[in-house]
Amino acid sequence: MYNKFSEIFQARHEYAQSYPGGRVMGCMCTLAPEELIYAAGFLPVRLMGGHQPQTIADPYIPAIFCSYCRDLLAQGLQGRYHYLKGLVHTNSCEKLRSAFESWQRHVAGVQTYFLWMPQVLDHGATEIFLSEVRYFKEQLERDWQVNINTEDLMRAIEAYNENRRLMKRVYELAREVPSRISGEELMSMVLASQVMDKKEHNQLVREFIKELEGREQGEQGVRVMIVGQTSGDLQLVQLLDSLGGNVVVDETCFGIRYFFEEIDDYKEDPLEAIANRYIKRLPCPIKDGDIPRKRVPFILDLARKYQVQFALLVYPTFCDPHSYDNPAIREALLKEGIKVLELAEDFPLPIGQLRTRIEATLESLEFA
Amino acid sequence: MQTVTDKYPTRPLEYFTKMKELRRSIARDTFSAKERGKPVIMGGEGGVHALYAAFDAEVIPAMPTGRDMRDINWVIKLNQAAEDRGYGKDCCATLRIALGAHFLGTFGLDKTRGKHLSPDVIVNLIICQGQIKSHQLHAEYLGIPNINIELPFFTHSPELAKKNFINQCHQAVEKLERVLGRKCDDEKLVEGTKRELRIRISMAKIALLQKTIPAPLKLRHMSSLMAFQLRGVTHRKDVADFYDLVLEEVKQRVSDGIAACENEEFRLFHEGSLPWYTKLGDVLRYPERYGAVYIGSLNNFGIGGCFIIDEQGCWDVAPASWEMGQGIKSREDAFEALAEACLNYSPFSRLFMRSELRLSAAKDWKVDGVVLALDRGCVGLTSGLYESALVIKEAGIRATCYETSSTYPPDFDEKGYQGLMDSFIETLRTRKGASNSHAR
Repeated sequence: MYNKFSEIFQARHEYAQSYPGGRVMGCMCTLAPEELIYAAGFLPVRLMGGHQPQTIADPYIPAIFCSYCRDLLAQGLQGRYHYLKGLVHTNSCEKLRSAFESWQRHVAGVQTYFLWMPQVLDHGATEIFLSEVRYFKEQLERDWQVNINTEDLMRAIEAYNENRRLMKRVYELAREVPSRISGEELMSMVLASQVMDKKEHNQLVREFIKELEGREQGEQGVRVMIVGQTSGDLQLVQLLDSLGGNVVVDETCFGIRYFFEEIDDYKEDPLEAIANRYIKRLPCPIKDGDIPRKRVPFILDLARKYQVQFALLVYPTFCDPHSYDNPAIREALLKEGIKVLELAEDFPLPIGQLRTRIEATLESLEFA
Repeated sequence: MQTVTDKYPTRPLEYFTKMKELRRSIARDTFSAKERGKPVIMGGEGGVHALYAAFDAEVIPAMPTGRDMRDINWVIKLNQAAEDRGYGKDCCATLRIALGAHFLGTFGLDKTRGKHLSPDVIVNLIICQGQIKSHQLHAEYLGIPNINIELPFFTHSPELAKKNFINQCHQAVEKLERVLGRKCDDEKLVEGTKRELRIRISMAKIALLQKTIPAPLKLRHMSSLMAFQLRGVTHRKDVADFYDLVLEEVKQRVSDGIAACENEEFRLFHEGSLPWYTKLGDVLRYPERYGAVYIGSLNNFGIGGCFIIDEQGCWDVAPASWEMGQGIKSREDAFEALAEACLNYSPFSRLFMRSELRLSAAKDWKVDGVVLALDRGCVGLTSGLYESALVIKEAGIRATCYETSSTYPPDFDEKGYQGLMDSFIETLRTRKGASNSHAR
């Protein structure tokens, strides 16, 4: 078991606070153009669910809004992210935007940035998002007295692209049957990537790959795919590992959606290349509004490639974007003969209940 | 609690008869579209109805209509049908009704003739995230194309936002020409645009007349006016003429000192969702027994009207483009004018400012209290309501919230709402009594 990702992820606040220069910028969504933030000398960190009761957020966001947006605001109000110099949000889900707005109104000492990205990622979306990215660059330069030049941007893009290639290599290894990688190792690698300096993370992933290549094949477990939004939670994966499930792939915004596409053709205009990447990347449910859909065939393709037996559709309670997509995803996976379980996660996780449901599903596969 | 005796004269609204006739006429036109060789567009909601005029199309609304919502037991069945197929309570509330109607075979059903009307294409102005996902599902279910026009309201550059919006309108025209196999009629587009803007301006003028004490209309009346906008028919001449008629009648009521509610003592705003089912009247009428009358909301004024709001928070009607010397003569002019109306003069689209706008409206309309309805099935209207309540309360205006559902009756606790209103209005009365005794 390779523990370093998991350890750093668990100690992410300490890691961020020790970042040289102390310039740390929070990102509420994977649509934030991190390369630009990194090129400005900041450590971009994805805000992760704290998975604690969120009552402190009650006066600002109603309890009928998703547990993830309430969780992020609760952590902001409790000062868990007191070290952030800035907070950036690219428009995705309205509930998350409302958490961002409440953060702007009630959490002091953070410079906030908002980038508009259309929901319809059609013609014209890149032009408008590129303009937002260029403006964000100007804001960063002005607010933090930095000059972000082309070389800085290219170095940042290269570090991020390398990170993406390395993590894809690990995901490739997870295709093996049986996989040599535990679910916790796989998911903690991607989670750690979102809170670490990319160059350091790259070093660790290289080390991890080396170890994996020398590792003997693992035991045959039920091959599991997680689909949806996990709020940055590792407990569920650990639970699956402990019950004989093996998460071999995911389609979540804390997993593959974060890193799957590289930035291409960035030498001429790096900012345009960055904007293009975020517009054209694998969409989350909010951005997948056209027909034909993009998510369903992608998920199905992953399920086939990874020989998935069991798919967990995970989303925070009261999450509407995933609720629209899940019936179609469920139907497609069931047709493929894959067992499906839908889990609306509320935190703290009711582990006992989850154990029973997951155990029952895994057993049904074992005796099928 | 004490009830209030009559303070003001009142009289029935004369335009109601005309409104009912107009609704029937629109329904007849819609259901006879195919016989008359007209295309049918599924749409409505936020606006850009002029596009429907440009293709001489009839509109079938994506939002629930009275036909679906009249019978509460049927409404529950529609919800259940959507839920049976996995579309739970977190999905858009109005979508669940429409999906339920698809699944139970009543969507687009002309009950008098037992025939179904199938739309050819979906065209919508997107003002909330649920709309896009809803239309994706409709398009898949009906097997028809889907055209979204999105309002880019948060960009740092108003010029770019306008350009983007106009480009989307041009692309929509190209797609519609392909899908419907007919050319865009620019003259009809121009006429439709002028009517759509005329209605937005009339709606704003009517809303401004609501500042009068006593208010000439109730929110219930304002909502029934907005229904034409949600129905997607603001491009029609008869609808634009009807709004002129309403405006004249409301002006006359103000000049004659006619109240909508004869015992108006407290003025209320109702923000957030209102029931589409038959509880709308019960929700809005209940406080009237105590002399409290709902007179408007940011949702109502902001979606339907065209306003300018000055730095002091005073609301006024936005100038029409033709009043500023910008005639609407071409397709480009039409899209430019629609962009202006939707992006610059629609307060509802200023999401980060909604709380402050709710406060400025509450002050400008001399409101005593604001009631905010939280709907699990409507992110668009529920988002930011708690923040608004805080801003309003900090400014010294009373505010209270309750949970409800716009389309699922069992999620509305009517007794709970009544109890809340009993105590809320009692606090308004206590406060008024206290301030009157201070004044003495």
